[in-house]
Amino acid sequence: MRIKSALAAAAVASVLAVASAQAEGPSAWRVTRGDVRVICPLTVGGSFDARTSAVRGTLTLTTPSPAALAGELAVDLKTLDTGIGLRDEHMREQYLETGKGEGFDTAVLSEIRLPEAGPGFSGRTRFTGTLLLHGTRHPVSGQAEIRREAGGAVRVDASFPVVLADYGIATPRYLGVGVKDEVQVRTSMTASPGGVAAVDR
Amino acid sequence: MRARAALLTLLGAAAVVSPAAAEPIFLARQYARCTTCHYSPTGGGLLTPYGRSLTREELSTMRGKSHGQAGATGPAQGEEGFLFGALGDTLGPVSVGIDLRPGHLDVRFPGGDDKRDLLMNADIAAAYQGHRWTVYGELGRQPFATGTRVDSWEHWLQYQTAGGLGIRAGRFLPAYGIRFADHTAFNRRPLGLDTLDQVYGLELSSSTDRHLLQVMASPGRADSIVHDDGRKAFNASGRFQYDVSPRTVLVASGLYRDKSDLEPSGGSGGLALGFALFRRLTIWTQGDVQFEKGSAGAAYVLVNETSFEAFRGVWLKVSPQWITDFGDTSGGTFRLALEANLLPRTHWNLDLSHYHDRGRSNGIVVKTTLLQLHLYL
Repeated sequence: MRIKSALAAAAVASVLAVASAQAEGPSAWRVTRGDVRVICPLTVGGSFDARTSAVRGTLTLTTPSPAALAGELAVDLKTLDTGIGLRDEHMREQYLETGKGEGFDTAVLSEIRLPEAGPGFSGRTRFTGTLLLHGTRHPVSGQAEIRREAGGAVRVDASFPVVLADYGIATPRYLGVGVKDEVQVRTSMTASPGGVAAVDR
Repeated sequence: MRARAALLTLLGAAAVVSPAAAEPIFLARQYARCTTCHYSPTGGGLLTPYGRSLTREELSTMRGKSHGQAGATGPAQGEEGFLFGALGDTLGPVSVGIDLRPGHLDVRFPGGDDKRDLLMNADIAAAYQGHRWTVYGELGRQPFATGTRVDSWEHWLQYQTAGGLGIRAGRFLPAYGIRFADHTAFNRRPLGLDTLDQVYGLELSSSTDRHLLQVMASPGRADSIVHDDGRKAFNASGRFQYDVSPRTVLVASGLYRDKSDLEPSGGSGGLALGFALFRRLTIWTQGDVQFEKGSAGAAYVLVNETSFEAFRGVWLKVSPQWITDFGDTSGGTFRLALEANLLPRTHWNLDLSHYHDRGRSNGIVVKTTLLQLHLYL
């Protein structure tokens, strides 16, 4: 349930990192492939993943050092899949409330900053951003690993925590089993040069 | 004589095949811990309300609508509830379950066969969970070679803190390895984890979202303490589970039993790996080394169980198993177990199992077929 926001944030972080890595090159980057995984720890021990590949967005490098990115990364929360039908239903309808439409059906990461990254950066770095989830904007921060790939593409693996209460998401509980209040978002995405700095919705 | 002993051992194993209710196949659904679906931290036995809900939502081919609006807590209602929800929420926070397993057993061995219809289990279990305490008890009858017996196989009291620390006291099966549903599996019965191998003991545990540690100490097997059968001896066990991911689990276990009036000291240590490549496939593999004081050497156990959901509510399982004799890796038994598990409707489970056991040193083959209807009411 908390998975959506985490996914969006991870996607954003990935894009930002990519843009930073290519600071000397093209200034706009479009996500060509992305996977988001939200790890939800259970109150009874153990955890489950919610996953989606519905990650889209374009980012533009506005400041090369430290890197700042304009644009957004968006994750379609209606596609989050945990492998259990009823759990998916509860996550989307009762906790993420995707049926409420804009601001609820998509998690959006924006205002991405890579304070330790400069032109041509490659490696591991910290990032910050703003995540829109469940109709609420809240700052997030995490770690990103940026790698350059053939053809000018950049691969970004990023992770950050999301506290459900920060976004007004109800504590997930069902028949005595629940999800803890903090989930982890992990994303892996590839961005290629091109596009404009706008969310491709 | 040795061949005869092996044969009798195999027959004895086949005679009371009565799988418990643990379903490690659910790793494929990202359930790496027994306690999501069962009250017992060692798996099996009474289902929690959440576990009952999953039997309807994930295990049954056909499912009716849940008649009740399930909440954050409280009993499972609707057809997945106790007696198919006939009592509604009358029982409040108390969970109750009835386990009935009529079956037909067919055992064939060189020179003969044994066929019988039997009621393998008729148990009632109840649990209360509240204020971090769990009270659990069950009463039932099971057939044994010495006759049918009515007893309480498990009864215990547990307290768990918000931080995941737990303490449990009472009669329960030690936590060790992977608890396959089939109690005759080579990583259960030969290692002393059979239906009558519960201990009276104290268990301490620590659980987080990534690990589970369970340590147990006991003055002896419950039956040895109660019936003074000469096998009473100090027992200790430890089990550490690390969840590499929601679909990949590593388990390390150890079990020690001190010498008793009738048996030398001994024990076992093992490693298990479970993983699910996708939501319909779970693969568990466990390897153990078993030792016994005075034996010429160790015995080895290797068990695999591969479970595949061919269709919703239809699980197919293949389980090759291998066990050696103490100090003789050329001896022992190889088993190939095949199983088809059909779950047409909530709490109805039709199970067909076939075991092909071959003595590695004597070539004796025992074929066992078991058809059982498991009603979990």
